[in-house]
Amino acid sequence: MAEFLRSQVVGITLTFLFYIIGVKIYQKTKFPLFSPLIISTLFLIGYIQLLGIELSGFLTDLSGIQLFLGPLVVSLAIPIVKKMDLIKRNFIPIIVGSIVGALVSMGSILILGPLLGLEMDMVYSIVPKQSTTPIAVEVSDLLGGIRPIAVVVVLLTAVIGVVLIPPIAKRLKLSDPVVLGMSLGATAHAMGTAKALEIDPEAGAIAGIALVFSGIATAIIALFL
Amino acid sequence: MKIIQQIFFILGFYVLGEFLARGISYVIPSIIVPGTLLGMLLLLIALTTKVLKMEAVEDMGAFLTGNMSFFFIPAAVSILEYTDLLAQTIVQIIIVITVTLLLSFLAVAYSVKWTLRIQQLHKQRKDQTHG
Repeated sequence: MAEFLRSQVVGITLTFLFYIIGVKIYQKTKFPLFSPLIISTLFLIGYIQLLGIELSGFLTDLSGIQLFLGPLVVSLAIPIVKKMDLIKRNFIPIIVGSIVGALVSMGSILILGPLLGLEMDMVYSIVPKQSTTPIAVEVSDLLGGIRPIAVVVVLLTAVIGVVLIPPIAKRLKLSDPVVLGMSLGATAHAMGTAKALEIDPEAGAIAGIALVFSGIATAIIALFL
Repeated sequence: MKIIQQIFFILGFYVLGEFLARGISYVIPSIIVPGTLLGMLLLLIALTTKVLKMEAVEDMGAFLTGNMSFFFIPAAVSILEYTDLLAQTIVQIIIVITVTLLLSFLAVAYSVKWTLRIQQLHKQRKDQTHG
């Protein structure tokens, strides 16, 4: 019985179940720390620990899910094509915001990280934080960062971003949908895009574009590191 | 069959991108480009030039991008391997994230705001000379 509970099919089924539960909880509470990824990860960690499942074996069981990370980046081309008109109308601000944001983010991390005593593999895991997770892990891998740390960093960034950015933007009277959308999408990725969508539909659409362009800008700048 | 075809196209562009990236690194070893981004670029070109119809990848793409965080569960779970490292550095990490996030947020917001303003002034001047 215990052997069955540790089997691949149970592990995968629970992964789906915990994610669904996570989505439901997030939809109900809208609390950033209750994101589906955080909730399902915590539940799965509980399951692994409780049944004494070996992590490496469990990750092999889930490798089918990991396989889709590459295709996920590829499919980001689809929203770009669909929003082509909006992109053409705001092309220069989108490009400027994505590049400036990625440069400032990466530069300040490269300065502040070592200053606080972080090892370089740690710093390189934080450097791609201005990028959406699928591109961030890629950039972290290329630079010599630690993939799981990069995932956690992007997640924390999004959570902190959606909490801090809207009130500060309000206080600074940054209400233009393009400015708001670029800010939230570029710094807080998918979570920021959802937040922007709550504030204003156009800001949400721009944020969805900002997230992809910031990821591309981050990857291109990383080529020169 | 429809979904199988869509999965094939997206996987196909991914493989094509990785292939191209390896080809580039083979010719010029100093350049390491992420193959996934090249795959995205190729798909973007194929869709805008209408070589590939949007319907051929739309549903699978929406499934992937709409449930993005699901695919990171395995990577997030493997944080278990790094709990000691994370426990030692979490304060520094959060400081770095928060400070650099605020800096990059301000950089994005004001660079976009000023770009929009310059564009607006430029347009006004153009309208005046034409009016």
